[in-house]
Amino acid sequence: MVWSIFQQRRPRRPPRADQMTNRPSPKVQQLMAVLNGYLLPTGAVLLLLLFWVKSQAVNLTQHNRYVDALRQLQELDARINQNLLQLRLGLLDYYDPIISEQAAIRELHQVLETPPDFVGATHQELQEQVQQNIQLWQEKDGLIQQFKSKNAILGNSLAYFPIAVTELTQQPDIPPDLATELDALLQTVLLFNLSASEELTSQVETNLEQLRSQASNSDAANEILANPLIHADLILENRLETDNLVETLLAIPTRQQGIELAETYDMAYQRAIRSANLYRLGLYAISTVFVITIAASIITKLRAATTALQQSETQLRHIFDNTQVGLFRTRLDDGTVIAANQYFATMLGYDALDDVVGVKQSTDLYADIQDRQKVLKTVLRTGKVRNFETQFRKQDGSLCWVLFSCQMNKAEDCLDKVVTDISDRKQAEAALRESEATKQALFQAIPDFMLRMYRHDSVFDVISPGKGIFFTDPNLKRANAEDFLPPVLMEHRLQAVQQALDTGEVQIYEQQLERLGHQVWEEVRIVPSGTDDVLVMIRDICDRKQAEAELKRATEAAQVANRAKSQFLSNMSHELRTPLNIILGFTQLMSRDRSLNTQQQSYLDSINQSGEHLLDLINDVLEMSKIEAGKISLNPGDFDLHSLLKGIHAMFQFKANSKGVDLRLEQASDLPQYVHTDESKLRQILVNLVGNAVKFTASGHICLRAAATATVDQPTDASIPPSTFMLQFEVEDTGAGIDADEIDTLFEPFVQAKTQQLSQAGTGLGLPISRKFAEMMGGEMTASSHLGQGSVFRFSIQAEPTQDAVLVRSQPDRPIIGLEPGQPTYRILIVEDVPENRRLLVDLLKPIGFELREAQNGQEALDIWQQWQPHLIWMDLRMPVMDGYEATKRIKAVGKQAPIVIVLTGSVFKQEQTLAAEAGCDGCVSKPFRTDAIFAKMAEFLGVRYTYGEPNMPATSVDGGSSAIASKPLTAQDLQIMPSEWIAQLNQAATRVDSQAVTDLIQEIPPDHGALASHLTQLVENFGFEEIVTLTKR
Amino acid sequence: MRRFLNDRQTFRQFYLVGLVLFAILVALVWQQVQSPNTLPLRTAETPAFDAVNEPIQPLPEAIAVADDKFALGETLFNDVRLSKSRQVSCASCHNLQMGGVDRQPHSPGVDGAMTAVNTPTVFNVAYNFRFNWNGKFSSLVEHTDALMQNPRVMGSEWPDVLSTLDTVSDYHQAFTAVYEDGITRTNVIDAIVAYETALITPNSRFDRYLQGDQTALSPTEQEGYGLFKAYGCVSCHQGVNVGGNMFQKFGVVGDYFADRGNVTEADFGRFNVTQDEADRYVFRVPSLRNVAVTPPYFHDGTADTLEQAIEIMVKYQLGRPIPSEHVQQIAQFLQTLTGEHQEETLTAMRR
Repeated sequence: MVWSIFQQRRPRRPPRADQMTNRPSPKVQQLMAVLNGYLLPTGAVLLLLLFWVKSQAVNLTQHNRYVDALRQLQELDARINQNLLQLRLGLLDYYDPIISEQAAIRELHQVLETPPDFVGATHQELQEQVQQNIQLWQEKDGLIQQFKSKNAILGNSLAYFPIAVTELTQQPDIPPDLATELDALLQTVLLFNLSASEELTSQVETNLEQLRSQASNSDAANEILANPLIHADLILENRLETDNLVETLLAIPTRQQGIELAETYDMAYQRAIRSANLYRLGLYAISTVFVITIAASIITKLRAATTALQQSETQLRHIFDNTQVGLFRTRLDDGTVIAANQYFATMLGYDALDDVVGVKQSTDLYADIQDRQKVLKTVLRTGKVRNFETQFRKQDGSLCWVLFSCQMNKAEDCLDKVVTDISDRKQAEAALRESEATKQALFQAIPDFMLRMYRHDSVFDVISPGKGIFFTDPNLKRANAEDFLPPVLMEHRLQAVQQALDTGEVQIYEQQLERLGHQVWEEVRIVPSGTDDVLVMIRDICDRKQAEAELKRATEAAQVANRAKSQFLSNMSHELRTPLNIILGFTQLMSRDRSLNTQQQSYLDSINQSGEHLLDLINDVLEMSKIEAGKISLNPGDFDLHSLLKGIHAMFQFKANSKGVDLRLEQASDLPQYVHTDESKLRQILVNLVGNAVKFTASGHICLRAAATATVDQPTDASIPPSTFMLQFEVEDTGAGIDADEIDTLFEPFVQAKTQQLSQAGTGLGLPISRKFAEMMGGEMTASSHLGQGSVFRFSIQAEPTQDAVLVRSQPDRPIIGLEPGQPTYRILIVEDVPENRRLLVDLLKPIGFELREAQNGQEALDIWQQWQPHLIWMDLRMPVMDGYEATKRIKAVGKQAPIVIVLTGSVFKQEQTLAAEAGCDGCVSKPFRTDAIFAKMAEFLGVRYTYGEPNMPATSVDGGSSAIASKPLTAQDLQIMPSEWIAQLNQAATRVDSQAVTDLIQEIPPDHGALASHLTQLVENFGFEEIVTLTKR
Repeated sequence: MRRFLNDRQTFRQFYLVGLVLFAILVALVWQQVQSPNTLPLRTAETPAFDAVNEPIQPLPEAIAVADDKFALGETLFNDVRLSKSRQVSCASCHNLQMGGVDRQPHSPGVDGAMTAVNTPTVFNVAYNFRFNWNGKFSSLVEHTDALMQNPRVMGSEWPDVLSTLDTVSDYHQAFTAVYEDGITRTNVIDAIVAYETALITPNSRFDRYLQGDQTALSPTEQEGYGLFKAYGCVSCHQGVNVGGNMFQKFGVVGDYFADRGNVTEADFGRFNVTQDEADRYVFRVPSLRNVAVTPPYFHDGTADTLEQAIEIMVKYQLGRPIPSEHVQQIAQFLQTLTGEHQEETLTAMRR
């Protein structure tokens, strides 16, 4: 039972892992339940019963009776002894008291023979002692009987003897001595009777003897004496015997034995009492434990019940407080709110429940009293109201829509109410209505025919009939598309629907069909709107089609015009540049010759300058055209800004000085040296601006300023890296200035300021081009001027920092003329299959002092390399027998000992460069190359130190335009590598002056003919279509 | 019921409650069983008498016995079916009309066998400390039981007696009314004993005299009482029953039996019981109440008259001469010891 209490309290725990295998079977469990539930309580109760019985062992009645009997035994014993003495002394004259006492003792013995049960082990001993006692008493009884008899006899004799003797002694004829003796005998006997000492006893006997002897002597005496003598004998005998008897009787240890018996019993009793007490104690203890256990279990159950109740209460309270609906209760009679939950208060804008409960009445809540009446009527009739929409007044007086339900609670004489705020829903409803209205309006407004179609179904639902005439019945709601579309279009429509549903993307296509007798063009848009349905919008696009056709015509016309323009420019470019190239080219070549004298050199300079100028003009025009055609692209690269600025400064120094104008260069102290942007364009701009300044300043100074600032704003163009900064340039002069109203038109092409017109220089394209370049590089250009005072031209470009310090400080004005002494003889291998190109390099490098070898293909290169061990190899890529890649690979395969391989790539395409890098080249230079680049690379990789000559060489023009030095002219044969159809197409495209087509065709050139591609590209960029036509002519 | 049992919770609760009740019940019963371990009460308490300052004490008015038991005992006492021969009842020898004796020297028992000794009176037996002349029986129960089975008296065997009684529906009724266990040996004896115990004869003239009524005795009777005392008769015939409470040798002075002759075994008296030589010729001192109406006297029934008895007693017990006037006076005194039964003084006359 105890266990079961604990089991009831404790929730069933899942068995531990180690007990899993030993989980008792249901049968055993059942058995254990029985054990706990029934056997234990039964056992406990029986135990209690046993203890109780044992504690009751000492039957007090029995005990008292026994103790009483023992006591009475002693009493009676004493009384009997007393009686005996009384009898002995003659104070008692009848024996009834003794008889009754003896009878009582016999009864007591019967009692004592059955001791109480609780004596237990001492029962045997007690019985023995009781028997002993009985025995003693039987002995005593016997003696008492004897005593009684003898006492009676003694008494009688004692009474008579004196009378007898007196009678005798008073007889006259009695012999006197006899009488005397009788008297003496009487005395003695009487004395003897009083105290039977031995002395007296013997005396009596003596006397008796004497008398007896006398009696025997004579018959007369005998007759007289006979009677008294008998009595005397009787007295003697009985006196002694009764005395003995009394002594013996008193000596019988009935009292002691009785005491022993009492003690034995008492011990047994004490023991029994003790044991009973122990049992009682045990009983109490167990009872207490039981009571406590029961109490504990009751308390636990109560507590559990209370907890459960509390939990339930808390749960309900929680629900009431936290539920997301307003619960409140109003009194039936006056509508006072008597209970509410927080949500209700909050819903109606009250801060605390106390503001509502007991304060507000339902009349305060309803916006419309009529509603309240309605509610009351319904609830009184039916007992409840369900989902009644009404408006409640909030704390601030505003109204809110609520959904209201109410239940009559007769038991507590109130109404239980639930409200939820349906403002959102109302809003949604209103919005829906509005949206619906908008939709309808939209449908009305949209002229398209809108219908809904389903996957694999040609039946459609009309959503809006649109403004067009699509079918005869304007009220048609549902129809089958097959009735309206020809099979092909139907098929297409279904496929499009399928596609729309599958991809989730809007499908748009056009269809042409006959509707109601008209040929119509329609655009069909299919928008997936569900998992299986789409919205189909059909729009009449006849107008659009018309417009498109017209546009097409216009575009074609424009294109034709454009092509004409390009053709013209191409002619221009080709016709003008061809001779110009020759002039400039050979002039430059000649000017390298040190054997010319000064005057010849100056002649060459003049020729060169003029040619350059002419070239500039042409280039500018082409640039402008390219810019307008959008063909200009940025070529950002790393370069030395400081060097560039110095070069510009140096370039115009002479001219400025010769005019007496001070040309200053001011660059900011934090101006980065190495920057990454389009160097050539920047140079162009600077040349243009500074050139202009020099041209138009007669006196004073020209100041070129350069500074770098961080980009003020975050670049909005995501393609611009965040580390970009702005380079700010300024060219200030104290020249003639520009008229205010002419500033605006400065940047217009072909517009020259008046001052410009006075001088001959300039194409009129410089500033527009510069500005366009600045804008292309993420900056802008502005001009300000005061007429007669000077002008300031400012521009800014974006640039990125670069760490590359690999750029050699080339000194553009000072040509390299040789090697510094003290260096080893550098062995350079030139691998190039085209002899002219090879010669170019040879002619360039040999005068400087390099030891040169040539190879025509990769294989030769390998042979020479193995034998000769060059320091550096200039490797062309496209060669027969073995191309540059392979050769580079092989050479580089030896590892660290391989010579430097620099690849000469003719293609502008990055692909070639990448492949070359993969092959293992150390660097590459693109063809046509700058001589500077050649020298720079060799310096970079070999550490060559050059000696420089005097700076009188004009800067070699570097942009990929006109120089024919670095590259030999393209021949028709070069094109033969391409299929004849391609050549024919190229011819056609070039004839058409279709630069796009030509570019596309160039793309088709395989990568290992990069030179061809780049040549052709150059031609295209420079409008050399005539050349292309020539090259591709059959 | 099944559903009730199936509801284990409720069943268990009921079980527990039942268990507790059962335990309480057992405890109560046990206690009941335990308590009265008393002896079977005596059928009648012998009340103490109001003692007077004389060697002889008066009888109390009555000994309380339940009426129904008394009646049953009376019926049994007079029922000849208690004897083997169906001829003899207790009353055959202990005739209440004849002073509780049959006034024969010896009495015929069943089969006509004569008792060895004279039948003593059934009256006032409550105050005898022993029964029979040799004092063999200490209680009436023993006495009744023994005499029932004595072949010379009732000669019965209890099973027969009981079965005989069993056949009588009146006994059934009476026994079951008085005793729970009906007709049993113990109960039969108990009824008879109860009846005998109640047979006391109070209000004798001498008792009245003892209780203060001086006129109850005539002067001669008073003198006779004086002589009774002076001679020493009272030393043995004393107490409430005027004797019956001690043993004494018959022939203290002189040899009675030698002088009488024809000594039989019965004459050995108490010796037959104790085998003690000292007890030879020792007898229970008889009660002298109603002595006037219960001749013949002595165990052998040899004295027919009071005077004869007195003379023998004085001679052999007292050993002194006595003049005949004194004998007469004592005899007259002895007449006054006759009490009442059912408010009628017992008579010497045969009815």
